[in-house]
Amino acid sequence: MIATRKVSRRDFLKMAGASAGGLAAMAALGSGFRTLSAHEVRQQQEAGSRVVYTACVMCPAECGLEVHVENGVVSRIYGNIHVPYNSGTVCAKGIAGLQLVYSVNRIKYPMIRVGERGEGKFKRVTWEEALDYIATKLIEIKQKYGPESVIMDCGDVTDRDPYYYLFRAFGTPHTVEHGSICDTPRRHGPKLMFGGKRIEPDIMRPVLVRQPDGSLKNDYSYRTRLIIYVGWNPFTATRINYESRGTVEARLAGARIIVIDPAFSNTATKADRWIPIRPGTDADLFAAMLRYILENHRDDDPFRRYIDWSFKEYSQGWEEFEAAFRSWWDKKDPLNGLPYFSLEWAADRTGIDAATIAELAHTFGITKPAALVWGMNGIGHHYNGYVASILGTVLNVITGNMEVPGGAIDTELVKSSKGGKTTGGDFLKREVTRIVNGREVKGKIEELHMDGYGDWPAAWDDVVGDYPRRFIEGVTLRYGPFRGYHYPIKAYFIRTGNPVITGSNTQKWIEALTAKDEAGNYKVELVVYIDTVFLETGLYADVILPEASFLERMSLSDIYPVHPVLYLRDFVIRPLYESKTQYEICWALARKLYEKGDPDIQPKDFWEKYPTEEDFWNEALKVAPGRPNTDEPLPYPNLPKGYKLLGTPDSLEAGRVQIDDEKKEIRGEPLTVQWLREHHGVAVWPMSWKRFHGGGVLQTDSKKVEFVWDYTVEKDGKIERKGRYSKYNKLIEEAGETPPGIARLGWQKYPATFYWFETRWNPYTNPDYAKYREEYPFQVISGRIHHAMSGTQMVDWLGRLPTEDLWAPLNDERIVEEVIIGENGPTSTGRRLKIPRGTWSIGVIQMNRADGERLGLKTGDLIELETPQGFKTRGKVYLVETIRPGVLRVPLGGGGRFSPGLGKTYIFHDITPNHNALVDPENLSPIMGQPAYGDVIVKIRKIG
Amino acid sequence: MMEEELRTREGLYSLLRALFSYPLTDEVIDAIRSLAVMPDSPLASGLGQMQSRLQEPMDRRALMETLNVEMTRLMEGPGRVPAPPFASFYLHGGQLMGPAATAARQLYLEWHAIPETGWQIPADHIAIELGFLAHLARRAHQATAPEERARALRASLDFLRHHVWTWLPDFCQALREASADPFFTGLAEFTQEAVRLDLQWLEELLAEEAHRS
Repeated sequence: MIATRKVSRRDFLKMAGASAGGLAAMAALGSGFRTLSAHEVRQQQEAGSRVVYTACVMCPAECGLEVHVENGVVSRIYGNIHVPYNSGTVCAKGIAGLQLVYSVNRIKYPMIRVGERGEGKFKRVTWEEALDYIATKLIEIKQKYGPESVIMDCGDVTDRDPYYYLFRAFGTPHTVEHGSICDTPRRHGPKLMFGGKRIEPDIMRPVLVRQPDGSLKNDYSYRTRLIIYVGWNPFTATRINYESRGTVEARLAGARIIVIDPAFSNTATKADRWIPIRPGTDADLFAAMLRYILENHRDDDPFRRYIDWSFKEYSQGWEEFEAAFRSWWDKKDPLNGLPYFSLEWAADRTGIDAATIAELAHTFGITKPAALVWGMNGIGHHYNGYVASILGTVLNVITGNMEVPGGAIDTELVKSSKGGKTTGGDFLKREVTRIVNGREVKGKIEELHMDGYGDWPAAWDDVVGDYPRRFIEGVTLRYGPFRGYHYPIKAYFIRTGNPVITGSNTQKWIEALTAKDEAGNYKVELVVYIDTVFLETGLYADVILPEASFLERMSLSDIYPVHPVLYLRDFVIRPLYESKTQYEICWALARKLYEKGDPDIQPKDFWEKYPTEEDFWNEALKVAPGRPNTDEPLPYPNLPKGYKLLGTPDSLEAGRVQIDDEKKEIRGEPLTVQWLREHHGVAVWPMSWKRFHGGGVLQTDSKKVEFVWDYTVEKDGKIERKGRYSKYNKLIEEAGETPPGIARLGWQKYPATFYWFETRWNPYTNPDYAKYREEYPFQVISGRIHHAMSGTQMVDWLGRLPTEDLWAPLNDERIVEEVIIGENGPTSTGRRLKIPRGTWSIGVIQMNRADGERLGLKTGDLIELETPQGFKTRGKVYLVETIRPGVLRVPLGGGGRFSPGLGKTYIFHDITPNHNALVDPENLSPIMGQPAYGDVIVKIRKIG
Repeated sequence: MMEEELRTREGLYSLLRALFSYPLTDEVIDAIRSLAVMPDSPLASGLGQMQSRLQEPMDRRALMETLNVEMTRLMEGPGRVPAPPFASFYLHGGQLMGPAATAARQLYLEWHAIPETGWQIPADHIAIELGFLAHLARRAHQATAPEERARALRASLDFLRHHVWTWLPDFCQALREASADPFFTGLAEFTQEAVRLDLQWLEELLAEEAHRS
């Protein structure tokens, strides 16, 4: 303590003593203030209060928001009633946005590492210094190894365009987002068969619908009769706002809701039925449902007319698919000796009795309209999720549920287009030269892709499932013009993502980012972390750049609506501290690269082309909505059917358009940022259904639903190879080399139609793993909590709230030392904090009560989970009836969090489980290479 | 006499502002080096610690680098820092941009003043609050009318009482506890004592003037 004493006026002068004059001279250092005129003061005061329509990013659902600002401070956050996606609603996470924007823990300034990676020791620097450091290193890497040695990973927020634009211009094909490493198997079926991505139930309400009298009205009616959610928990999982409220509304309107999930999820609480399936057997269930439907369908029996044959009008290849599927029926499963896809076979594997499976198949077949929907942490995270995704897609198609009112909709195909030239896709077509085995080879930048032309040729949509292994081993291209070319990964940019915790195995990531060469230099020479919050991956960065929070930047949002809706993310306040928007960061880095002589970065592509942020986003809006004027009811009956729509909703409605018959385009007045600002931040174009029937929506080669993915057609006397897999098979045939992923399955190339393979690390379905059943008796799955995939980890009051049985107030009373990053890593400040017992929710291990009691465990015991490979994590066990016996569930990203930047979430990192610590980094799903996060088995040990 | 005191106050707060403005510069370090106080001054201990650190046999560039790295760790980031330099953190449950920041902003505008950094940095950042005190000190020093000078001094006293002193001791304590570097422990002590002395000086001065009038 400082001793205080009273001073007299004379003492104050005395304090400066002999240097009084010197101290006075220090006034030259300045006050840092300037004086305003009365007019300027008024302007400042007025500018301090306003209402702005924008889009949330507290989670990837990105709801429309109406945000109020008072005295320059964000004061209130509401849902934007004009955005039908969330229709005025906003959740607790969204309201907590203030706690992120004004968090003491947010990243405020650029930093450069001064210690070792992982120590968290940084020095604040200017943007100039940070950008100079990055640009110098990037150019060095480009000259030495080629731009393909650089990866830009943009995380899970949709406003990534400026980063894609810059890095593609720089010359790398590796522009990545979270979806590239998360749940690619889930999307496979819709992609393969529709050219789409995401099947969701038609329950977004309201939808804007053309009425018989020609007017447009919001339709609030729910026509869905049945939704089956498989491993999908929209009530808790982030991403699709309307599915939580829509499910409740649809049920009130008479729909039946069935949840198939090993755990009794929040969604299950609102369902008519919960069916606890064994993890990793979704494909088995779908296969049995499809077989049942095919075997029992009767055209002449209204009670067994499961198949709506009209699907054949807008599809091709069904016969081949069906024949391939039926060819398995006579084969016997080596594990249980039962015929594949039979009810008994599926019952043995899924743990659901045969009668229930039959009833499920019958109910789905007979109830129309219906939607079969599957999720990320289930099918998306299993080795054979591709098979399940294909079968699920087939079930939706043949039952006639795709695109009917109240049925299932592939939202990827019907949402508004956006981005256009701002994605930088054109840069990927540039020709480059590389020396391969002493020979000069020319090809396109995109043909240098580490996975697409490496081990995983089917890695479409920029998928990069196979890192961090590539960081350590480098890339050897097997396909395309650069076959045989080897390059290392030397720079990794991560923005709004945290792969150390949520991408593949945590320890593997740390190894990759800290590996050094013989000279003691880091193998990955540059790691740049760009974010608003400081997560674990940031500890391994060389440079940290503060990105403006979601209330301080501009971009566009459109998260899986059932018809074109596009809304603006706008500046609510200007970026705080020294944070910059993604446009500002990319343009500043582009300038720096240009100044340093990077020939690929040219003013004409950057500041001359898009001098302001608004110019850039206006370009991104030019392609909206970009969908055809089809089908029932026709969105714009006064405009030609089937033509692509472009422009603002009001200009299309009023007929202020140009019609291009050659291109089959209808061009209204261009949609702009300013137009959106003048219309509550959102553009809504009309809904229609049966868009598969009407044409122009499907993105396959045939523009039909495809059941065969490698086929030939004759055109102008020439035979052409078509279908989604044909491109990859051609590459394989040219190279004469099978990708290792599918070689492991015994395949030569990608099958032309239906295929089947087992998941791995599942002793109940895969004979290779049956031996582990006794010693490793538990399957581990992950579940979502409100902190998963969210910017909410540092929001204390959300930390206190329990979620399902994954995030529970199991904390002991703890007097904890406050911890911050010290000189040698995380260090106590000496300040003490009391957290009373049972007041703070932490990530837990959910276990069936009977299992726990059999093992002598009680809720709150600390246990360790260990995989056959020796990967371990620990956490407190939570015994409940709400999970299938033999299954453990842990929160994804909810435990083992070791960045002090997370506030109190960090405090319990030693007793909370990290799911990804258990993931087998070698268990990459065979088609696209994504880690099979959901295929994990463990034994357990009580440790406290 | 009063003239000199007012000039001294302006210099003092300008120096304090600079000491909490990242990065520490040669100019600021030289200012600390050149400063001298009477041995029994309440400021002597804090200043002495800072000066002892600056006298260590160390290359000047290396010294500046070390000090700025430590300042980064203590107050700048990334993520959680041991001594957040914002009033709201201490007064409003650990969150920033609380009522303290809003009130400070309003007050600055009432005085037709705005930080040169605009509103990018919350108005209750330590360097901005100290800078505002320097600004008011200059207004008092440059005032041509006694009422104008008295108004600026009263505003300084109010700002010190209701804004700065409500959290400064907690902040300085956090700084002292979190750092083993004498420059920063000294800075914490020097700042707290200097502000306390000025608060007392203003109280006495304004009480005397009130009594006189």
